[in-house]
Amino acid sequence: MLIGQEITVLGGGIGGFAAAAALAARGARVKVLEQAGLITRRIDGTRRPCRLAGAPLEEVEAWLNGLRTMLEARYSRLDDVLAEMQAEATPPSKLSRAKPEQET
Amino acid sequence: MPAPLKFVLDGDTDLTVTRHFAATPDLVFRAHTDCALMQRWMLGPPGWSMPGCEMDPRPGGAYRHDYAGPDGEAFSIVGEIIEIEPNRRIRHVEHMLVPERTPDNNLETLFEAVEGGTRLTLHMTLPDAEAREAMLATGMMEGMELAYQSLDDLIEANDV
Repeated sequence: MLIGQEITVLGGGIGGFAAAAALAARGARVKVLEQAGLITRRIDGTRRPCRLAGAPLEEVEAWLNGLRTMLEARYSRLDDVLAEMQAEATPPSKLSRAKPEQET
Repeated sequence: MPAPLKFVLDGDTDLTVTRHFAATPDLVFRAHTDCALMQRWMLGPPGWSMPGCEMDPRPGGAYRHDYAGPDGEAFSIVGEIIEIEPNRRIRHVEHMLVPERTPDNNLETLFEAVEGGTRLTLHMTLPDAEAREAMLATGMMEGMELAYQSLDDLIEANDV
């Protein structure tokens, strides 16, 4: 029986999800992986073996690091822009009794 | 010290980025919808600018960012606002023109009032291999540290 077994289905689409639903109905814990270039697939007779692709995963990590660094730089600049917006919105004479507006 | 960026993969296809800002949600929201403000921060490495910016911040409204790099690089991001709640949320879909069109990328930006300012949350679908390559090819991510570091380290370091 499949109850409690962990099964990963590589590739969604109608076939992938039908297989996942059938396995889940028989008690398996099913995960479907697809997209993001993380999967390689080959055809071997009637079999379609898949595996997680090693090199692309590293490529994805490198790319994510680049994205993260870019966002850090952007948001750091946004900090400065926001500080200027606040300074413009609050004349220096009123600074001591200015209360920040709160969204609820 | 800038506030830390939390950068977490959700499953295999999505990414969630969280960042605190010391300003109220209305200001952070305005900085995401006013071209004059976006052109000051929504940029790449030093030397990059956004000479062209159009933004129609309402449901169905279009936006466009034209980027220019220090060595004559140029590309655009073109998108559409799907849903927008002032000072709270923007859901949008965009693609790049490099100049060929890349697949759509779905994004959602949330602005939440928290003690001391705003928590910004950016949800995005991970671009596929083709779109990632196109983004790298723009040069916008060049000069960035592309150190190979395991995702576990990445997520752990930010999970404080």
